[in-house]
Amino acid sequence: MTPAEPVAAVPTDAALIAAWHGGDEQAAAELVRRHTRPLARFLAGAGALDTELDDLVQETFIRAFRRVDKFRGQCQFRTWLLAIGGNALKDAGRRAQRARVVPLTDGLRAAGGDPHEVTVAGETERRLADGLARLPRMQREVFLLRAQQGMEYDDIAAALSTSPGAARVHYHHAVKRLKEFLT
Amino acid sequence: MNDQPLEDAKLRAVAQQLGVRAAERLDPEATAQAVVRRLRGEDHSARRGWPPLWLSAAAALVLLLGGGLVWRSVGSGGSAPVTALGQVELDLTDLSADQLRDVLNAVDQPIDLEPTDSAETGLDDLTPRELRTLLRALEG
Repeated sequence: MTPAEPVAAVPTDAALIAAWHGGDEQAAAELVRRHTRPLARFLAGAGALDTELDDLVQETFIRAFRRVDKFRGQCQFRTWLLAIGGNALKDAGRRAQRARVVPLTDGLRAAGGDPHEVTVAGETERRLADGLARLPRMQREVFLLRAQQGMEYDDIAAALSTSPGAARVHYHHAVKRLKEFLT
Repeated sequence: MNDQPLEDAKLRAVAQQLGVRAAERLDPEATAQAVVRRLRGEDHSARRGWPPLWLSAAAALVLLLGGGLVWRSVGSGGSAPVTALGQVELDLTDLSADQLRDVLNAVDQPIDLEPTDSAETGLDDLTPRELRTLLRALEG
């Protein structure tokens, strides 16, 4: 019986950042592959238009790699990246009130499942997106980082240059306003 | 829509689905190659931690303006104690709701350092008592 092949360790974000700093382009590519979809979900939730999502995602990564020297591990790389995405979205001039999550009724193929259930779920998502568009930016981003991305308050606070206590207050008020809007 | 308030768990579940379909339409590999191509064309001096001169000057100006804004918000006229870092120690109980919002906007800035108004940060929603609690939380 032959011995099992050792499983290659998955490099951490910190290791990839260090490798890219040393000139390894593939390390940068791996970071992009790893974080593209979560970043896109965050930007879509924050109000980015579908048609501009690709450009915004790329712009966010470019900004992040430009200032990666300033990332000292104060939070997860992804949290820091999403905060940069929020700034990129703001700079792109996209007001959350003009953003929309494209509902299934616009002709997109559903991912699968019962059509009625999928339609109801899509409607709830659309209303949540509308509610998020009405929130102040800080509340919206704290809510997305916490509820959508599952980040811890310490991480959120470090990425958004605030305190964990303030992040909790912002989240509390975001949830309160969203519940009022959705009921 | 259900008349019952949306439960926290349900709200989180819906939030986790937000943007999934839009994100699935992106190709991470294509995005990675596009980013790497753009990085190759970038000025590598930024990767060595040397910010452009204009950025350093802008950062210095923001710090000066930010310090002036905090001072003016307090309206202390020089009577408030100043720490070694130049930060003003605030007597929160004497501040009006508008003054509290001004101070919070000055200290609770997103990383882009651009001025934000209370509507963007949600401070208009908070009572003076909540504003003081939030400010104390920011002070750590």
